[in-house]
Amino acid sequence: MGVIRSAIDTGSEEFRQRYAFNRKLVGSFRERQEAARSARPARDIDRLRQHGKMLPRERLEKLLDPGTPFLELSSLAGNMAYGGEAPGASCITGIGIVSGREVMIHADDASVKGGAWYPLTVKKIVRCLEIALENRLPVVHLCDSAGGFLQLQSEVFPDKHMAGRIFRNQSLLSKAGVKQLALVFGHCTAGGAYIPALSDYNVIVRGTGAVFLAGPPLVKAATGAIVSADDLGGCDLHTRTSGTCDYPAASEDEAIAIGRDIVAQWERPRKTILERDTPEAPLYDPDELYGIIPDGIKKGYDSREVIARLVDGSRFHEYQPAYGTTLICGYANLWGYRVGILANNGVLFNDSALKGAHFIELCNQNNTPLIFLQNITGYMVGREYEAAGITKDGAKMIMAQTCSHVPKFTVMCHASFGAGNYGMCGRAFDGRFLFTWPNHQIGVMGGEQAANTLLEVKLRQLERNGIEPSADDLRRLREETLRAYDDQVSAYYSTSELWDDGILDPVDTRNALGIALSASLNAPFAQPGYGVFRF
Amino acid sequence: MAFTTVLVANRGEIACRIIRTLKSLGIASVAVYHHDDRRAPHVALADRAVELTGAVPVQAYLDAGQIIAACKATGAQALHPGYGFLSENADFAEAVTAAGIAFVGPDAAVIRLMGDKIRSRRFAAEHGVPIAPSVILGEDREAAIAQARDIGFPLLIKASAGGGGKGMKIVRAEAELADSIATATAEAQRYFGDGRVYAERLIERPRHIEVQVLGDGQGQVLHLYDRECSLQRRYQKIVEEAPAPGLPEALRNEICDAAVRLATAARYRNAGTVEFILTPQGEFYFLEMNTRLQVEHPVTEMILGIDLVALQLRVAGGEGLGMAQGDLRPRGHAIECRICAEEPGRDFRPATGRIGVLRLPAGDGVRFDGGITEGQAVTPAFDSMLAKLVAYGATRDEAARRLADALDQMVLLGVPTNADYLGRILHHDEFLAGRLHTGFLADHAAALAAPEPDPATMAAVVAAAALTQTDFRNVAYGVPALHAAIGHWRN
Amino acid sequence: MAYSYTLDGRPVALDIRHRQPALGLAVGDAVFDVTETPAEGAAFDLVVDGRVRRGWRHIVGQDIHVRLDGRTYVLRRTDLDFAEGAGGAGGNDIRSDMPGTTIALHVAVGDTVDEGQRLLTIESMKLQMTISAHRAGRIAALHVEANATFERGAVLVSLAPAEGE
Repeated sequence: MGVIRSAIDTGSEEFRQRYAFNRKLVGSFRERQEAARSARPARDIDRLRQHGKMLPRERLEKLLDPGTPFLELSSLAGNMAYGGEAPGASCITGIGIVSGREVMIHADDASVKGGAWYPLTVKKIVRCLEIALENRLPVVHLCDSAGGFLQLQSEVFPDKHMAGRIFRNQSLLSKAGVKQLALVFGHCTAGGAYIPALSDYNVIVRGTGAVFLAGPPLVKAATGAIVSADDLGGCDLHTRTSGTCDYPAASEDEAIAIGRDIVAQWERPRKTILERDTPEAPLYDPDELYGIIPDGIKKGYDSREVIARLVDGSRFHEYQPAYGTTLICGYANLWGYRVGILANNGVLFNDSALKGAHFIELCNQNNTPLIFLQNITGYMVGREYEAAGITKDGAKMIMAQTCSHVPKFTVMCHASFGAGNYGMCGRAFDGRFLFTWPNHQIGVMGGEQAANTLLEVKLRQLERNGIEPSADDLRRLREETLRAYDDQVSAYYSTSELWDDGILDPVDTRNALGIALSASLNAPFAQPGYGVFRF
Repeated sequence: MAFTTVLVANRGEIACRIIRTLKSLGIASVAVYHHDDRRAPHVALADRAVELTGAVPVQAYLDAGQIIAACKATGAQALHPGYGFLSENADFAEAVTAAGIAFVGPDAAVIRLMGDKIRSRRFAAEHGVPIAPSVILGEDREAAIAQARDIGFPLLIKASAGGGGKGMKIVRAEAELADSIATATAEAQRYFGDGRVYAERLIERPRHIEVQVLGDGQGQVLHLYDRECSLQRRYQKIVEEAPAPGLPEALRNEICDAAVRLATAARYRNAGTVEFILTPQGEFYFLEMNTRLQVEHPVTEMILGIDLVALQLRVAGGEGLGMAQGDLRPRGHAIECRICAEEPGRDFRPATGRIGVLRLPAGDGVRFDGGITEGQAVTPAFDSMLAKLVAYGATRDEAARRLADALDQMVLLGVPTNADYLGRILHHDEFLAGRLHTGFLADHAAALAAPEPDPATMAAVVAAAALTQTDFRNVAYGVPALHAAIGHWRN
Repeated sequence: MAYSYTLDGRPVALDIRHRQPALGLAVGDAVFDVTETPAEGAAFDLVVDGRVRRGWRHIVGQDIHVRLDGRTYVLRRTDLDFAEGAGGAGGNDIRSDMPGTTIALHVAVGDTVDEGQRLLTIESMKLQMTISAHRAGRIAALHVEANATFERGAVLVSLAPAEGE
């Protein structure tokens, strides 16, 4: 495997400009992430302290093994929703190591509205359990929630992928032999009570932990009885009388120690064997990514330069280097594991779509996981290409990608517009993990193109009604459309809605993919098989 | 007459040590033991063992009747009492003798004489052995002052009926005498209801010097030179050596001669030790005589190349001393330290536990007298001394170095001991300079306290401890390779 | 810090900082690379920051005794020490889980008892059982006499409230 020869000149004007732009962008991303993680009204933190409770991230740091990585998912979920009331969607999810085992962690954040479940909170928890199911990752729940956010109950409760899906996923996890542990630090009310109940093991903290289908206010409303949370569903009731909870703990520290000891009893999973070489850091400095990523959505870059700063030794075995050159395909090692990489260098043509489909089949044949590095604005348009069957060829790529039995990982590095998103394993295609970069944009088409199209439509509408807008009107209309569109295509919007599993600082991508890949190997590969390829 | 069977009425290290000599002489040994000691080394070492009963273990070893019965049952012709327990019990010595068994020690009358502090002091004075000046002060104030003045300064006024430092006054000059007597008398009356006081010379920084003697009971007494036992804590000897360092020859001879004089006058039979205190000015005074083998006898054995227990058996068997004073020529130097189950860092609180790991030191001139083995329980039932470690060298420095090295090498884990503390004593400049006195350990307590370990050593110790714990090992080594390679990281 | 010990009574914190290329342990503020070499029995053989450290160790209950370079240390793990059930575990009354008969009383009102001390022997379902004190305390009341029968949930013994309640 040859080392990628980089053409980047770190002294060039373009590099310096892009570097400054991206450092600023990432700086701003990190600030917003930090605020979402820790900026809380003092009164909310004080309330927790008064009850002798730790903050969720304090619990997390004590739960995790020292000197190990934690890959947090969707840290900015909800950042553009609910007027900013629910940073992180009031919960924390991520993959970490507890007592030497890879686990998925879900922690309610009681410092955000008491840990109430907003619609996006539910979506985030459902997503984390879906990841756990697909990758067979044991789960540790750190429960501490005021319950469902009643004002938005219609988006929290009734539908197929709302709160019920959490408990459905828990049941299926257990059926699949994947263990769950719940540490009850606070209230588990109504549906939330099912989290410890459906966990294989649970621990409850005396005095602050409580599990009940209906909390004291509901009980009072229903029967007039006045009963404290502890009497209704506290530690002693559930560990001695009802048997709903397994281990009593006198303190949060003790609950965590017991939890770690429980996880230490779990057998280590038999992971899917993937050949592994000795890992090697990339030859080129990942920091240079800041100077490679463009400072405008229409500007491009050579994907090979990105690959060179992600993979072991910057070594890449390129497949069909002379054919379908707008799609880079090839093998590389990531943290020692052989992976197949598909990365865009322009729009997809017939030949690049075919090349992509074929390479995906090769990776499936070779049990090689797939990594999609997206920077795609779409397939080539025009009569010539339609005549050559570009729709069929795009379909073949989608078919190959969808029916893959190897784990798939997607990083949206820049643009992700239109049908190109599909072929390159967008959200709908069950990639194990999907990450984005702060500069990334996603939409059915690019902002300006959309704005122009919408403007066209609007103009025709006005024409039909006999109105001819002025130049100023035109300009204003255009700006309004663009602005609305820009918000909705940004990485922040996408991550807020949980269309991805989190924005990453580009230099963190290597570690994130490594951890994701390792997690995915806890599940066996599916049976190979494709549908019909329209040739 | 040669004994063919000897019973050892003791336990622990001394019983083992006596049995070792018996073995070397081809004499059958009988051990006695309480049930709690049934797995003790002295029981296994002896040729035969007899169990004694007692509500508490100590009682068994103090039960004269059972012990004598054991002698009869096993046909033991002699009994060695060791030290402590019944070794200085005159009634016991009489009963043993009356039962037709040779008591390896002096006769009952001498045991009684020397066991009585007042009688023995008077006896010493009568035979020209110096005693520390002391006088009971009479009621008449003027006479009392005169009596006290005669003692010499500095002196101590003490309450006859009291203790614990109450009613005690130090007087350094005559000018203070009248007031001190008055105050001491008043305090004695107030605290003890008895205003009688006595005056005694105050010896500051005294040294404890003792002389080993061996008599044939017919008037022949040899001295086996001196030992220094000044390093004491709460009147318990911790480190002893032979010969006493820095003693002028003339003074040594005076002290040894005085010891011989005393023992001869008592027609002493078998081994004994005459204890003196030595003032910085070179005056020595009789303290007491111990009519038995002492704990620290090994240092004498090593500088003279003799086996004291063998000599004791000779004398007990009526074979006489078998040597003349001129045959005893001391060479080199020997130092002994007492390894006790205690925690120096917690004011020497006695410790209990089970000996989990035991690795004995070896080396030129190193001798380990112990009654312990791996797995043995150390309980509050008995004295806290587990063993003695002794080293011999051509010079005092060499002996000290060998002993310190042996302590370093020794591994005894499971019960806290004073071994490290003993090592610090042996490295102390003042010890190496031979500037010893009975207040040494108290005076230098701060310097002898355990120092903070350096960070690297502390890290090694903590790591060694943590790596015994399964959960720590699991987290240290059991993390998947990729995550171990990434290390601590947050996105 | 993840782990805490006392070393000869003084607190020491221990953490794992890295695992490659060697195990990196933080003891207090400083980080050391530690590798283990196999050793027999009670002996240990470590390399700490490149220096060989050989010694002995032995576990006594909760304590770990370590001897290194002529000095013995006693360590105890403290991060797993948790306060006893802070006010939980039953309070002052000791009840019976099932109906039965009192066979014997082993304490009297006013007695001071230790945690785990035998208080009563009862019989139920042809099986004799011991009722023990769940905490140390003073017997405030005995609610049954010998040969008395009682129902399930009956209070058998009451302890005086603990200090500070």
